[in-house]
Amino acid sequence: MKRYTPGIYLVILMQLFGCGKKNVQIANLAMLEGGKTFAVPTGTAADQLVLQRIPDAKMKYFNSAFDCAMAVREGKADAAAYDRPILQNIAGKNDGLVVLPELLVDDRYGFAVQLNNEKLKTVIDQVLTEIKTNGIYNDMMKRWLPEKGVPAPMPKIELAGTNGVLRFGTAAVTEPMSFVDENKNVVGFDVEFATYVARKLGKKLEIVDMEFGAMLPALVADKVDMIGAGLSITEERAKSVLFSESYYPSGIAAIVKDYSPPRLVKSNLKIKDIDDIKDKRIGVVTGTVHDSYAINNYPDAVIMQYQNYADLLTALRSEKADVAFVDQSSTKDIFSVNPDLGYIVENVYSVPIGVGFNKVDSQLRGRFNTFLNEIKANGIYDDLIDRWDRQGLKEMPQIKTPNPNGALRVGIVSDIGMPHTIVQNGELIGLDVELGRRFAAYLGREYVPIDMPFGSLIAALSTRKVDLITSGIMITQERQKQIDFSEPYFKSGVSLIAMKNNIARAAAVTGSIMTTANDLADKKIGIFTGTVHDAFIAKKYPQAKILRYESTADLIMSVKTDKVDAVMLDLITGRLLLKHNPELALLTDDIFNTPLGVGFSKKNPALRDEFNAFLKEIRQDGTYAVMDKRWFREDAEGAVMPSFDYSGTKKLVVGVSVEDLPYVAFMNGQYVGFDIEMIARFGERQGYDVEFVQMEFPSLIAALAAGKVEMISDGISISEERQKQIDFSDPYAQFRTAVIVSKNRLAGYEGEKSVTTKKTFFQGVSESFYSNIILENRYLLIVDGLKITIIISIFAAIVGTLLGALVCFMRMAKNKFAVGFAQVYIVLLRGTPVLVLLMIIYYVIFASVNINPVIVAVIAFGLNFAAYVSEMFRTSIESIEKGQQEAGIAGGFTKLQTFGYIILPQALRQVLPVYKGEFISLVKMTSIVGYIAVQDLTKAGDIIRSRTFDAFFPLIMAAVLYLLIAWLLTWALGRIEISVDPKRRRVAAKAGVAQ
Amino acid sequence: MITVKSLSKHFGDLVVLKDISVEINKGEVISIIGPSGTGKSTFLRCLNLLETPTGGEIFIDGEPLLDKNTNVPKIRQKMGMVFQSFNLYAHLTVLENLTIGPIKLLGRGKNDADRKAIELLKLVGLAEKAGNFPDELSGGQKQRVAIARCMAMEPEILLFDEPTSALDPTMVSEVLAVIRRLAKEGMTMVIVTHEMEFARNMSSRIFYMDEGIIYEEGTPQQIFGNPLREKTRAFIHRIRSLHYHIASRDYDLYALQSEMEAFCDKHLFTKEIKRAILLITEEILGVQQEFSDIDLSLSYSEKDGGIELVCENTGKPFNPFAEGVLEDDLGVTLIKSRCNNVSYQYENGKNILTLDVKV
Repeated sequence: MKRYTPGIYLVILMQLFGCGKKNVQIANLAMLEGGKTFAVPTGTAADQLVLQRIPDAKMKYFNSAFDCAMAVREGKADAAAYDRPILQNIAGKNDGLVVLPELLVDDRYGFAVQLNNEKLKTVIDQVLTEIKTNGIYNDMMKRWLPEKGVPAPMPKIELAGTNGVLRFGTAAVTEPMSFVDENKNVVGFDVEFATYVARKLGKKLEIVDMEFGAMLPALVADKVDMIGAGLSITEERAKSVLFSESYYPSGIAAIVKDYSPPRLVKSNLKIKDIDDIKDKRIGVVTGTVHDSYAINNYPDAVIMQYQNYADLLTALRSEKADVAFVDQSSTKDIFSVNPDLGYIVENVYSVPIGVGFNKVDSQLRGRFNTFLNEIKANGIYDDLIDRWDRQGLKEMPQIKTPNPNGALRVGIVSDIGMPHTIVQNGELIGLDVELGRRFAAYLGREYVPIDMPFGSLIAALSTRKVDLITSGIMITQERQKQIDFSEPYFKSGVSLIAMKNNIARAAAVTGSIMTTANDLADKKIGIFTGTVHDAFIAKKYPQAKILRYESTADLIMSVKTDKVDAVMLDLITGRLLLKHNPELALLTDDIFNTPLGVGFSKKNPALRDEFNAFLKEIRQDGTYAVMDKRWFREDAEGAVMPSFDYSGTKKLVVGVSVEDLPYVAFMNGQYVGFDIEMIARFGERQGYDVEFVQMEFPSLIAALAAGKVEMISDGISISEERQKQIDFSDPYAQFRTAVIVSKNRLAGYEGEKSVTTKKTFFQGVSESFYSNIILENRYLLIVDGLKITIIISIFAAIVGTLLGALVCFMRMAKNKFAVGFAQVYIVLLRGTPVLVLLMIIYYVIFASVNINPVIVAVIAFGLNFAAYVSEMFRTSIESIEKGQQEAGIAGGFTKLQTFGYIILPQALRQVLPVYKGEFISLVKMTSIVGYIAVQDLTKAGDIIRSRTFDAFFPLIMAAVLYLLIAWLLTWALGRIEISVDPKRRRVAAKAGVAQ
Repeated sequence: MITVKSLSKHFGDLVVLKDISVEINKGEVISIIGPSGTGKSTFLRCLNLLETPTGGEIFIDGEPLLDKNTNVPKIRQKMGMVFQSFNLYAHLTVLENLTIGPIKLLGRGKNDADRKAIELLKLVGLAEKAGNFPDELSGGQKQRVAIARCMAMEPEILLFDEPTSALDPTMVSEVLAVIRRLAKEGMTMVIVTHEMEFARNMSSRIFYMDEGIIYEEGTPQQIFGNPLREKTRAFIHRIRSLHYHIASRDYDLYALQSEMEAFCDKHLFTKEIKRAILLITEEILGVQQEFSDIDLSLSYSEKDGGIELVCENTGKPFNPFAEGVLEDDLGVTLIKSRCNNVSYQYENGKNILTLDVKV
């Protein structure tokens, strides 16, 4: 019980302090009785009206209805009282407030005219009846007084105005009856109504804005003909003015704080397509074409208008709006900054963009159209569009007008955005800017940009302050009334976007679902490094993003994990993959065909001719057909490789990569595949002893060029680029490309759930284990790889340590040359990446030399290791205090003896811990030898991966084995450390003394 | 045994040893004393070529050490060196420290070497530490092992470079005891040391090094009892002094007095003594007749606490203390009252007044 007492005190305290005011929801007027505080605006009748209903109410005065409402929300008053529509408007736009349904006082709005102006009153009443009958009234109510949200903007109403002017007095501070909008126009229900009255009278409307309190006097003094601003009809007022019929049954309502839970955040709206938005909150930027589009086409939706894109996006993201219409060209930028937004519809409609000209300037306009046609004909236009729009580059080419003959003043909006106009590093760039500059040069005039807000463009043009205007101006009928447009030079699309978690399935969005190869145009495509697909995609789909992978297994992983949208690889391999990966599907198989050839060194045409002759033979005698059937038509995985007699007299070294059934693979301990069979047959017939050497695909050509192999074959496509470096045989097969995507990205598979059987973790692991290790005796690969890794590591370490000692000796010598050489060696070897060193030694230094690549690896790693070892030795030697050496010297030892007996044992103790670490690093470094065709532990893992496409297991296995090696080495070196540590030997010494 | 001729050593522009020539004979125990930085250790380290002299010659048993053909390590085997920072081989046990030299250099067998080593360790009292490592010993123990290590090589001469400077007083005595014993047994030793009592008692000869040369040498009695040269004396008596030169009658008495005050304060003289000194100085200058070349020196012996004021005046002979020389002998009286002793000499054209101030 004692534990709880402090807590109890705390709770009580909280009650006392925190709850002077209880958060009770006021639900009806009755609860506002009993001395509650009302917030009312000064200068209105609100306070009187409240007191009429609740005589013991207390008043607090604020400047406006809005301030009253805010006071309520902040708890400074219990309720605010004012005209219901106004309060509803406020409650609609602000969370935490709710209008009580019961009115404090009934109220009616009316328009007022001078007491003797019966005629005008009649007209007003007539107008009211009319609009009630023809539906405009309902429309106005909906528009100006929506339940929730912002009032829609003022519609345009034509006024002929031949009969004079109707002077309408109003207080434009009473939203939504009469108020000032963003464009500084006086709008509102009452204003619209007054417009209709003016129209009926055939008069123009003059709006006179004034203080509320001044309206009546102004009317009486005949300064205005009619007044209205949510004006309540009261007896008092009716004494001095004549009221129309009530056009709005209002009332004084009370607005109170809303304690109920906030509006349910509407995520997971599951918007599927554009039709779903008809009852949602649609965000637009005021004054844009999207604004009117949304209003016109979605009358049941709530249109949320914002000043600019920044506000619109904020609203979208904070769930104040459900969807938004935006310029399609801005979406790239929008999505890159806001990855949580996505398309519902990528292109709802397109609007043409044109350059604006003053109506009297038809000559200039004509010249522009001519100019535009010219650049469309000569390709400049395409390039322009490509750079600015498709690629989204931000580079402005230099365009100057030499010897300008006058200026071309161009009105622009410098911050309208990409691709039209932006400012980068203080420089004005963009599609419209470049277009403008080119046109100026075309005219021989100097390009003079004049920056202004969007709203001023047309005005500036009309007043001839500028010669033309650009900056992504959409050609609309409205605008065409005021200015003339050039031919359209751009099409701007409108996109519908929303928060991704509101879209039914982000992938289900049109544009993200792919149906044909053309859908690849803007996607991320994964390909094999060094293949012909690279150049192909660059040409055909320049906007696509290319990601390059080293192995088929990596390719598959990437498309499965959505790192790319699609992958391209050869059809036959692709088909095999689909067999093993049911969640992938074929988008198309008809995209790209190339012939395949065997590669030969340009220096060896004889061999190539030999091979071509062989090809002809096997085609004629039917062998080719058999092979074709076995590997290409039937399931290559089930193919049985015939056996061959590799007992020829001449040696033939053939380079292959092993990732690609049906061409080349490594199964059951031997090389299999079409290419292998083909070459084996070739060897057999021509009496060659064929030796296959395996390496990374990108290294094949380099190896051929360096003379390490005489032929290469691995389903290699014949391409111009490659033909520059090597010669190809005649084509021996056709390569067809498959484009593979995830099923859920493919149109036609929508809604299909991929069937995956649920496996337990253990099942998964044991299955992986079986397929990666046991099947096809794959563990043998690992064992062999392990052997190689250990051999290279140990020998490289030995070479490195000895060489390192030598370099250290030189580094500490008296001879300046020795020191200099050692320093250069250390800098060079420490500064070169080992992989680069390895490849230089193998491909450059030992080019055309038949050297076992394992030796090359030992040399390369040894050289690198030595650089580090020498510095380690030096540091440890120099760390032994000088006195030790002096004692040795003074004791009669020579310098060498002193080093050997005194310094070295102590230095060794210092250096071993660091040496251990470097040694382990060395072991791990050897994992790169696959680049020079050495099959080490890592490469063994890669090979297995290429067969099982299982990324997880082989990698983990390799990691575990490296870990094991490292641990073993640590242990072994640890033993050495112990034996070098003198303290350990004390026991022995003591034993000796005791004798 | 060791003959040194005109040995010099420069470190760049810095001349540490100017010109040293000595003979060191068998059985001698030479202590080298002197202020810090005067090249004592440098001289010692030249003897076994740990430092290479810039000039001169060194002969060890007639063999020229600096000759190119000389097998220096071999010679070094005959010379042992004991360092200020011990320098025991950190990776070897105490026993192994002693045996490594004999085994590797003298070709002794392990058992033989071990046995000899244990003997030596017993000699220095550290037999039980044979299996320990140097970092497990105290400073004094380490130094004794170092000495034993040298002895294991059966040297003909031992060089000691400030062997006790790094030890605290309790450990100093144990090391000195060992060295004393070696001296008794007739080992030739050259010791650089600051232990004056030890040097005085144990040495056959003392080298006082100063100004880059062997400033004075002699038997301990000579050097400690009656040092001939000034610096030797200053060192031995640990004399501190202040010198002031006057060149004209218009000398600045206040500056002089202020320097003297500072000197007195520095050496913590009492107020009375300080006042006495200042008064005496004023008076002694007051009785002088010529002021063109006067050297005043105020000396204080830390050893016996004596304070001496010497006034040397170049000029005609003039003794103010003699009867009747001065008309007004108030000054002289004042002086005499505050001194134990006053004396006058005329030497080399200088009137030398020596005043022994009462303390």
